[in-house]
Amino acid sequence: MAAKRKRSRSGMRTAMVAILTFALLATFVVRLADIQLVRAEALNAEADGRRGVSQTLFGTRGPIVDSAGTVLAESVDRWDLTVSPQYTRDLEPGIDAVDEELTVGDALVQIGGITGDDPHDLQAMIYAELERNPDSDYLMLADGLDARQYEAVRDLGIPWVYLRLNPQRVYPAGSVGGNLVGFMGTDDPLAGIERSQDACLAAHSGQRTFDRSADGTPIPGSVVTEPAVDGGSVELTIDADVQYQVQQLTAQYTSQLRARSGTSIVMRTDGTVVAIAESPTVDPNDPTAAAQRDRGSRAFTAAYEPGSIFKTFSWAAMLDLGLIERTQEMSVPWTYSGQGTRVRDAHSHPVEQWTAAGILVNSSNVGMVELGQQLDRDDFTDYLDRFGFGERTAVGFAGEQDVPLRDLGALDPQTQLNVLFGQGIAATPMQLASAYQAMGNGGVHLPVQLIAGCTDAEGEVTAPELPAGQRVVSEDTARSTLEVLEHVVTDYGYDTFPIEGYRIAAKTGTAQMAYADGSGYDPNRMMISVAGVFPVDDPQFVVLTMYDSPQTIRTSGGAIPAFHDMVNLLIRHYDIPPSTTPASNVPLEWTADQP
Amino acid sequence: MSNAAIASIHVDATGAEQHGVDQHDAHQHGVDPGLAPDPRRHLRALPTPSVRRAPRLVHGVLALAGLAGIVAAQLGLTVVISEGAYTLNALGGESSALARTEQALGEDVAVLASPQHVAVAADELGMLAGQPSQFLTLSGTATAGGPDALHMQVPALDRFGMYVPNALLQTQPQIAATVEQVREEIAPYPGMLLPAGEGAPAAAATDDAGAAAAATTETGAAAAEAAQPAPGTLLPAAPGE
Repeated sequence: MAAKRKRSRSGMRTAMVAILTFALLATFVVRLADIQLVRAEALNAEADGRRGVSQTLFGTRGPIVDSAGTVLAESVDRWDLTVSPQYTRDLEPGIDAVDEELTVGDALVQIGGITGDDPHDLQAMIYAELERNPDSDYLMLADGLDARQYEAVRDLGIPWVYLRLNPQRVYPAGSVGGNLVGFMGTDDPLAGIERSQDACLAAHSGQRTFDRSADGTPIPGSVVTEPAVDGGSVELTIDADVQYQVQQLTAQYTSQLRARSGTSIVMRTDGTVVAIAESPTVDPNDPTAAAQRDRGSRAFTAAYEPGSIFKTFSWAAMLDLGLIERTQEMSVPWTYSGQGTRVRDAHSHPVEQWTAAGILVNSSNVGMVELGQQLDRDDFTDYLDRFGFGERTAVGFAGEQDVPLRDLGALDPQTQLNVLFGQGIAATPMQLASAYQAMGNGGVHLPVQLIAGCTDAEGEVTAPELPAGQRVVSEDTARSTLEVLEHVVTDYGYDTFPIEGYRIAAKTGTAQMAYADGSGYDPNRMMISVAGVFPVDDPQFVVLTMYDSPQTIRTSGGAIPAFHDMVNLLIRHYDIPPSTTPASNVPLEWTADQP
Repeated sequence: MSNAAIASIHVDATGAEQHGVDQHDAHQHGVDPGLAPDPRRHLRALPTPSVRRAPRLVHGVLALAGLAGIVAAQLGLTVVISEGAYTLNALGGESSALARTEQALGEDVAVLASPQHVAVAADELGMLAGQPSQFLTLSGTATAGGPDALHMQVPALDRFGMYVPNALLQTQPQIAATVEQVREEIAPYPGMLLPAGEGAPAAAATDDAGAAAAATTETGAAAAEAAQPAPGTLLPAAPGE
């Protein structure tokens, strides 16, 4: 009996242990299933949320550099100083990592000392924000902190201050090339190269995800990085030193002439731009300081009726067609009328015995009309088209004008005549400089090039696609025309024009400006300009300088010293040796043989 | 000793051919009478437990030591890796701090190297534009001179500020001071006479043009153009010159 009881007790114990074991096991299985299957997703997400961190890696927007690598635009790191107004509090030693008590006021005094703000203003901003929303967690106290200010604020160790990275664009050379480089808005490029080359310059953000330990250190092996791709670098063909000096001269002459604006273009004869200067100009570091109309580039956007500097092209077209010869003898009165048309020279003069070359040098409207009697208007349109008029230049500048060519044959007779001396037809300064480029390049017009290339983050260079060049006039015509224009510099009556020892070809122009509403010409508004090519024996540069509405000197004589100085500057900068060939000697006048 | 015992059993079981070989063994176990073979008993238990106990202990110790070693190594490795993570983190922080310093210095250099700063600093030092290059002609003994002087020689900075402004230069204390000084020297006030730089060059240019026109009287149109029209003169209606 005792043995039996003992056995049954032991059996019961075994059973109980078994039941308990199974119960425990069942509990664990249920719990396991619950965690691993039923709530797995939610728990995983929560765990990842606690440990997993995802950071956006910002790429750097690419720089814009000149042909020598001088940085005209680059991106730099700047920081915004933000605070949590509701948590601004005094810091106590022991609780916070400070050695002695630091009140909010003291902290603001220190921050103000770093950012240059008045601590009272900062305090007022915090009070105002708390007034608006007592639970406010965000207020930007200061922006644009540079690296030194960032480190100084960070070293204060104030827990309610948060510094947020906010990269910004700076233009170390200021307004040097400012009209070309353009500028950025808050996020987007607004003007110039910044806008037209955004595809090259823009960076692509990357991402870094990792699990972090309790103290924020990335857990080894959990880091997954998708690197950011920095933007490419845009290289321009301009030379920042020349650009600066041409801008300086343009600004000084604009100021001296009391003109509304001045524009100068320096190009190489291969079509690459050396400098485009505007006055007034824009400093891209502070674009709002410039008036809206001064923030672009008038060289590309301000088409006007060019006047006399256009005569070069109609004269060259007639010479190329064999309609005229340089020494052709003409008798030129100062007025012309016929078939309801009427043309006058700028000033009255007796009947002059000028050669065709003399007509161009003395810039006679009547002479041009008489020479152009045989010129077919369709042929002339073809020439103008090949010179690049009527279409945008290959640069494709933001806001660039094309000014389509009209069918010259369909114009009224008066305008048909006016086109010969640059009225009734409009062009941008860039189109004019580009057409002079053809004259300096042996008659072959090459596309204007402002962007030398885009170098991406991996160092691969992409050159811009440019249309092929086009022959406009024969090499002989181009050379002959430049030789005639050389006489403008030496024989036009300005001793401020020539530079001794150098053969320079140029044409002056005093253009009338039409009223904006098209009701005729504004008698108080003139555009004075000089365009030229030098050295004539081996043309290298094209220079165009123009001033809108000068007040002190209202004829092209005002622009001649500016042209002289720009040519002078280029000779000095590039050490151009004096011409070795004798100056041209084309007869400008003729005398009738005495019977 | 135990090997000798096994060998002796072997000898008994297999017969006498190897007896001579095992003589030394026989002699040995003759020294140990307790283990002397009984010719009548062919089977007896081998004293294996005592035989195998010692190697097991060594193996166990080895295994445990190995395990401990692995654990220690694993621990050490983990410590080193996590230490490395902290080092990496610290070095990363240091690297970005240095990158910030580099950027700040690079910005300073870019602004100091800007044409405006160079020009204003050169003016400040009293520097003038250099002489143009002279060129030697190989054929003769003469040097060919470079270009003549510029017609416009004005400092980069006047009382209205820089002709080619740069907002970033305001952060350069020395330049900011120079700009301020130039501005204060001739602070404009209502009714003041214009300084020579403003009006005089225009007059000079007109004089030049007039002289030029006088010199070349045959180009009448140019002479007429060169003379600046008097105030109130109507400009000719015809275009160009």
